[in-house]
Amino acid sequence: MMNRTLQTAIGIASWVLLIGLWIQLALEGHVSLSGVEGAAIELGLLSGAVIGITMLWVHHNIRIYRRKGPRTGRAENVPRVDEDRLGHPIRWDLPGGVHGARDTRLLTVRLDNGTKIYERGV
Amino acid sequence: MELLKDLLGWIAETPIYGAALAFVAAYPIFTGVMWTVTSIIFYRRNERNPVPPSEDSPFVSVVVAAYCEEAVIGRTLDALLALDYPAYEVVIVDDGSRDRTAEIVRRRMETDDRLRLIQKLVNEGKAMALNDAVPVTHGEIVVVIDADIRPRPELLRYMVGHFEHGRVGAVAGNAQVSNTRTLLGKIQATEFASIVSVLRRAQRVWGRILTVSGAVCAFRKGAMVDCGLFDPEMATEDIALSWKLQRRFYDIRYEPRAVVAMQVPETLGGLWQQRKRWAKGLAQVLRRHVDLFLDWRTRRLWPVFLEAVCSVLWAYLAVGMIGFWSLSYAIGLEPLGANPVPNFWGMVIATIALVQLGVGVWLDGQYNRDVGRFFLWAPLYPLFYWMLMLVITVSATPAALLGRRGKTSHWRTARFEVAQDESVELERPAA
Repeated sequence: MMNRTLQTAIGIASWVLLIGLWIQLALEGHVSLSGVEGAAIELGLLSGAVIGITMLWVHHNIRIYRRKGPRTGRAENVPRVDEDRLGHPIRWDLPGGVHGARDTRLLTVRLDNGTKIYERGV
Repeated sequence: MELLKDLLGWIAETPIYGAALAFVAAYPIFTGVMWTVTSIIFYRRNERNPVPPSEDSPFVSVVVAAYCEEAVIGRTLDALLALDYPAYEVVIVDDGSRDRTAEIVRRRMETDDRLRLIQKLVNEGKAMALNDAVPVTHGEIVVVIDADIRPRPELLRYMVGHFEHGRVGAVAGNAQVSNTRTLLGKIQATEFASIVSVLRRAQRVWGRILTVSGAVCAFRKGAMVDCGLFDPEMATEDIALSWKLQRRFYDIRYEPRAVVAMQVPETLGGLWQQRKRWAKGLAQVLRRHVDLFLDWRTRRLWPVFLEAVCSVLWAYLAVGMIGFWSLSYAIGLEPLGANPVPNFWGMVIATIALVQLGVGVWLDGQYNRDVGRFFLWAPLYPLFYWMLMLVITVSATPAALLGRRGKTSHWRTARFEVAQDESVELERPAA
């Protein structure tokens, strides 16, 4: 594993490389004041557009919320206890069935001829 | 050779090449500005006025699926049993481990009644381990945590408060990288703070997110059941369930104060495997949900879907462009729009990426004071790390899009013990 000194050197070198690339672009005449200004204006306009559209969207949703109120529907679904998600039938081999299993701290689960069996662990 | 030169020259003159070049240049600029600006909007609207910690204490089941986790499960149990919450259980689902995972949990059960163990004698993968636990949990809220995760004590208080709103189906937590002794770990620490967290904040503002955090997420049990629980055939069960929840109009929130420390791959091979699985999982989800455009009611998911498709498209075009440029230069042809050294707009892209990384580090620095120091390695992200992610996306996507459905996905995660002096101590958020 690389030691910390070398890692730090790589980190510093990456910033030197990044800044060096910008300097090289400037020295080769690929970076002009007008070019930077142009890019800054374009990015500024883009940022402004993003803020504007986002805030419009946020206020659209707030208006919906004020008109309709909060969505209060609540999921009351109960998990299936007769078969698992892969379609294996489930057998609860312990007192109380699934209710007993919920109150059991140590359970084992095994597959036997395609049936999933929950048992009290030992 | 001349024929090849003529062909490549002709291609570079076509409108398709021009459009591809414009897309490759513009997409990262647009998304970089979009995510950065919108994540700041989230910060101003939500983090300065956060959902208060829950005063009620509904019973919570913390479920951990574990496969060969002997190196880490002990520390995870220490953290889980130290959560500052009055009513919860910790359910470890041992998915047929071949090491001492179950033995470690059993020993700990002797000293804490809140700890339960479901020992599966057959390994069916993480999704099935979680699915098999749900029917036997007590809580209406199920918090799914990875086996190498160490949460802050106040985790449940911050997450549970969101469920007072009836349509909240899930709350994503904020996973921060703890194993930062390697260079790869340091880059990923910045990545999670700056890319994952920024994107999640931004997507929350728009109302639909790409995925919850697989490392830590709280679910309403009824919502999970309504959506058919986790899909065992999907490579990333967290992305899959996130989309199912949102397609059934459940709300998924993001709680940046729900901080956990997690481990990331420390080798290129491990990272490759993990990200390949993520890319595959995303492609599977996109394939499965392409029909959402047929339903006007799911229109709020359309931007997330389109952005995900664009990101994959961008990866292919970027790799294609690099290949085209490399071939052109090799035969002495200077292609349109290319330069051996990044040109002005290439550097603008890299700089915008750095700004996004910086904003992400600043935002997550409220919750993890250590993350700021990893910004030293931030330039490695746009200069090198991005390329790795491109190649992974390009290589993993076709199999997922064209592959056979129905095969159960199993896990192959290497765990290792985090040395005490390398752990990142997570700062508590400001009150």
